[in-house]
Amino acid sequence: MSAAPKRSALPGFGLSMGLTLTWLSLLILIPLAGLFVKTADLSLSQFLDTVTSNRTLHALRISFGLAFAAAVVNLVAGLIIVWALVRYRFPGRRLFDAIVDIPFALPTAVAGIALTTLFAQNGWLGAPLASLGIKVAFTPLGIFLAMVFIGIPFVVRTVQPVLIDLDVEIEEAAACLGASRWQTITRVIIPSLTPAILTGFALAFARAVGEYGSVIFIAGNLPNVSEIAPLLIVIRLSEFRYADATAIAVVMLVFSFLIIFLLNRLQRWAQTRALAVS
Amino acid sequence: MTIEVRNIVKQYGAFKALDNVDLRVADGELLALLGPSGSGKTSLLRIIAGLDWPDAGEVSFDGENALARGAGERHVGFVFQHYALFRHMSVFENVAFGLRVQPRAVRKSEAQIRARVKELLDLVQLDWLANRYPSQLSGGQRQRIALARALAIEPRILLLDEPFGALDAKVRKELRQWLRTLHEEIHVTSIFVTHDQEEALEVANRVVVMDKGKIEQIGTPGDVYDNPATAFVHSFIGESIVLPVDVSGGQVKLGHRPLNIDAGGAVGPSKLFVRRHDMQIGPVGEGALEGTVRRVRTFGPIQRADIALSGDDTLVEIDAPRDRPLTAGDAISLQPRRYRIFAGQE
Repeated sequence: MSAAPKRSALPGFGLSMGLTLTWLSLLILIPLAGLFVKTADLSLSQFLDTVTSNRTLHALRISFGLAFAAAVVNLVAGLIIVWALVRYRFPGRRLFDAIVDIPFALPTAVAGIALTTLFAQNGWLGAPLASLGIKVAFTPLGIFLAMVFIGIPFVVRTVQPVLIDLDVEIEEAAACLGASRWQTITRVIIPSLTPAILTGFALAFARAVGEYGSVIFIAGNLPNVSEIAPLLIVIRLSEFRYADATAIAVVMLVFSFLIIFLLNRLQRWAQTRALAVS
Repeated sequence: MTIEVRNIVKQYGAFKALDNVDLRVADGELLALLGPSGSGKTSLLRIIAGLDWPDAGEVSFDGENALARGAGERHVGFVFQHYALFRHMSVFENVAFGLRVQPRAVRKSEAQIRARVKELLDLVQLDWLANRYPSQLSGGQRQRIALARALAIEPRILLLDEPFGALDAKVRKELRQWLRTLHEEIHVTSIFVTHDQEEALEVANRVVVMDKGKIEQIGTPGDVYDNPATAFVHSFIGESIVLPVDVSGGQVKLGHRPLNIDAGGAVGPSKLFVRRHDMQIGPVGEGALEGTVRRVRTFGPIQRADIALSGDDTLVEIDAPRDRPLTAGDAISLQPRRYRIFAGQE
C-alpha cells in the first residue's frame, strides 16, 4: 500500500534543510560543542570556582552590563538618527547615511585606538572632560563608549527600512484626530516600529557583549575595574589555562543565547501583534 | 459649518497646484471636488484640513480664520485614500484613538469611550469586527473603519480624499450609495475629492470641477452635465463628440462645409461639442452633417455606431435608440439636437 507522495507548491524542503543543518553544524554547532567538551575537563567544583571567582564575575558584569547600557543608548540615538535620515532632506544626507556604516567596516583596533587618543587625558575631548573631573579612557566609561560606537549601525540599519515604509499619512491621520506630536510618536510611530527596534537592540547588544578589538585599547584592562570577559578569556589562554577560558566562554554563551532568544521572542510577539496573524 | 476659501495660491516649485481658488461650502453640503490628477483638488482638500498651508489666501470656518489653527485644532475628520489605519491597533482602538488622545480635562471616561466607539461601529455596520486588526479586513471594511475613526471626534467638517479610489468597482458602487445615506443621517458638511465623474455626479449635492489649479465650474450634478461652462468641463464630464470648427460672420464651418447651426457667440477657430446621444440620425440631406456608418454595436437600449463623416472621414461615435436600426454602409445625416460651441482650438 503506497501513499501518494506529498506534493507542495514549495518543493526542496529536504535539500534546503539538509544544507542548512550541515552549514550550521560546520560553522557554529561543532565549534561550540568543542567549547563544552573542553570545559568538561574541569570538575564541577573547579568550573564553579572559575566562573564565580570575583575577577570572572566582575568581568561578566562589565561585559553584559555595559553592553546593555550601550544598546539602550544606541536605541535612543539610533532612532533619532534614523528619523533625521528618513524624514528630512538636507545637504549631505547621503554622506551621513554612509558614515553610519563606518563602525561596521573599520578595523576594531583602529576604532579603539582612535577613541583612546581622543578621550585620553590629553586628548581633544579627554582634556576638557578631565578638567570637569570626568575620566573616560581606561575606565568602564571608556568601554561603554566603545560599545556605543560599534553598536550604532545595527539599530539604524534595522529600523531605517521600516520607517521608510511607514506611511506619513498615519501621522497626518493622528494629527487630524487631535493627537499632539508627542502622542503621535509614542502611540503611533514607536509601536509601529517596535519589532524592528527590538531586533536592532538585540543585534547591538550582542555585538557589544562580544566586542574585543576596540574595547581593549580604551579599557585600561585593570582586573576588577575595567576588564571585559572576552579579554579575561584571552588572558587565560595565554596562561595555557584552556579549560578555564572555555568555562568563561560557556557562561557568556549561555547568557547571550538566553538574552537574544528572549529578545527574539519579544520581537516575534510585537510583530504578530502588529500584523495580527492571529 | 460653512467653509469659505478665498484666493488660495499654492505652488510646488514651478508647478502651480492652486491658482487663486475661491470656494464657498454651505452648511451640511456634500460637495465633490472633481478633476483629473494634478488639477489641485487634493491640495485644496489638504489645505482645508490643515495638513498643508497655502502660499497666499484665506480659509475660514463659519467666518473664523482656520489657517491660524493646526490640523488637530480644526475638528476636521479626514479620510485617506489608502485608509491610513493604525495597523498595530485593533479596529476598536483605531476608532477610539481620537477620543483617547483628548486632553485629560475634556477626555471621556472609559465607559463613555466604549459606548461611543460601539455606536460608531454600529453606524458603519461593522460592530462585529471590533477586535480584528486592519490587516484582517477587506478594503471596503477598512475604509468604513477609517470613516468611523474620523467621525469619532465629532468633526465639524468631513473631508474625504479619493475615499473609494483604491477599491474595486463593485465595492465602490456600494460605498457610494452608503456614503450618500450616511450623509443624510449625520448631515455634517462634507467635501470629497474624486477623479471619477460618475462618483461625483451620483453622490454630491454640488460638484466643483477643477483643472490645472483653477475651478472651471461649480454647480449641481445636473448643471455641470447639461450646461458645461467650459470646453474642459464638456469634455471631462460625459462622453462628447468634439469637432474642430471655424466661426466667421455667425456661420459655423466644419472644414469647408457650412453647418446650419447657431454659433452661440463664439468667433474664430472653435470646438463643437455634442453629447453622443444628442445626435439625431436622419436620411441624407436632412442634417447638418453627413456620413457613412462603419460599424454598429448594440447593447441594452442603445446602438452605438462609428460614423465616418463625409469630407475628411473623421470617425465619430454616436449613441442612438434602437428603433431605427443602422447597418454598416448606410449613408446618413446627423443633426445635433443639443450642442455647445466654445471658442479656441485647445
